[in-house]
Order: sequence, then C-alpha cells, then structure tokens
Amino acid sequence: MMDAKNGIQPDNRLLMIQEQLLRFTQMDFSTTLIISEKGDDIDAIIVGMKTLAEELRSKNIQNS
Amino acid sequence: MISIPTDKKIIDWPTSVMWFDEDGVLFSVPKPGPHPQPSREESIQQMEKFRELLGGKKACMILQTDSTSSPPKKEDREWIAKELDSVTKAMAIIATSPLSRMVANLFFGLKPPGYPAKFFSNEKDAKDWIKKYV
Repeated sequence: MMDAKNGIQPDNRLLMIQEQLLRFTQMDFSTTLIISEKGDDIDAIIVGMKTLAEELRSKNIQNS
Repeated sequence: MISIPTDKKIIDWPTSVMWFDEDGVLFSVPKPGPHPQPSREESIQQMEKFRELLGGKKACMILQTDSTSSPPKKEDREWIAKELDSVTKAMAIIATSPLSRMVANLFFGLKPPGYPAKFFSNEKDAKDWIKKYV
C-alpha cells in the first residue's frame, strides 16, 4: 500500500510504520519504507526498521 | 556543526571536505546534497587515496555526519568496518540529525569497531575527547 515497491510517497509516515510493523508480525520483510529528506526522528525509526528487516531477512535465508 | 577553517589546507573529497588540525586530527565535513552510494570499486579507489593521505598511519578523526545519510548496504558493512579499522586510531562523530545518528549507531552496533568511537554534539567536546588518543 505505502511502500517503495508501489512508489507511493511518504505522506503519512507513522501510518506506514504501523503497517510495516504489522507485516513484520507476519514475518513479511519483503517491503521497504521510504526515508524522506527530513532526516528527523521518524526517518531514524524507519532506517532502524529497514535495517532490522534486512537482518531478519538474512537470518531467515540462513535458516531455511 | 564544524566550521571549515580558512587557515588550513583543505582536502577536496568526492562527498566531503577534510583537513588536519595542528594536532594532526583529521576533520571531515560532508558536502551538501544527497550523495549516491559509491560502488565497491569506487570505494576501493577512495580507500587507496585515503591511505596515501594518511601516509600509511592510523589517524584520529572527527567526522560530521551527512544529515540525510543512508545506511550502507548489508553486503558492504563488513568491508567498510574492516577498512575503517585499518586507518582509524579513534573516531569522534558529530551527528547532525536523528537519522544520521541512527545510521551511525546501527553501523557501529552491527559491526563494533576495534577503535574508540563516541558521539558528540559539538566540535569542542569532540576535540577534548580525541586529544587523549593523538
């Protein structure tokens, strides 16, 4: 819905984060959030989530 | 924020400007604008030039982060960490945005450095801390 794959801009980043966290609970790390040009606290959370997803995706591949 | 001095030799780098202060501490301030992440080949070339700049020695560095920086790719992290270990005696980081602070924290958290590294909010505190490693 609001991810880089679909090319939708980060208009509502907190909503994007909520949706991404829901996907994480389903072990779905396939989508990537967009980091805005603001460089603010919300972007810091997003970059943390991106890195977390990257690490978990890598662990999943190693374990499979 | 670090002020670029007018009385030091400024070294022009693709994404930053650098200089050595009177104690031999290397300062680096990013150039404005988004910077695309370099390829591995470009990074290798830059590291070779950087080693030449340091004369084959490790340096104490005070780095100001790029406020819109993005984290390095997972596959590049280990290589970057190893290269930094080989040229760094100590590193003081002045983070200019919550994003760049997170990027640096993630980098050092995932690949803990073999040298002392610490975050600061201003140049003076960074310099006071790094002096003991010069």
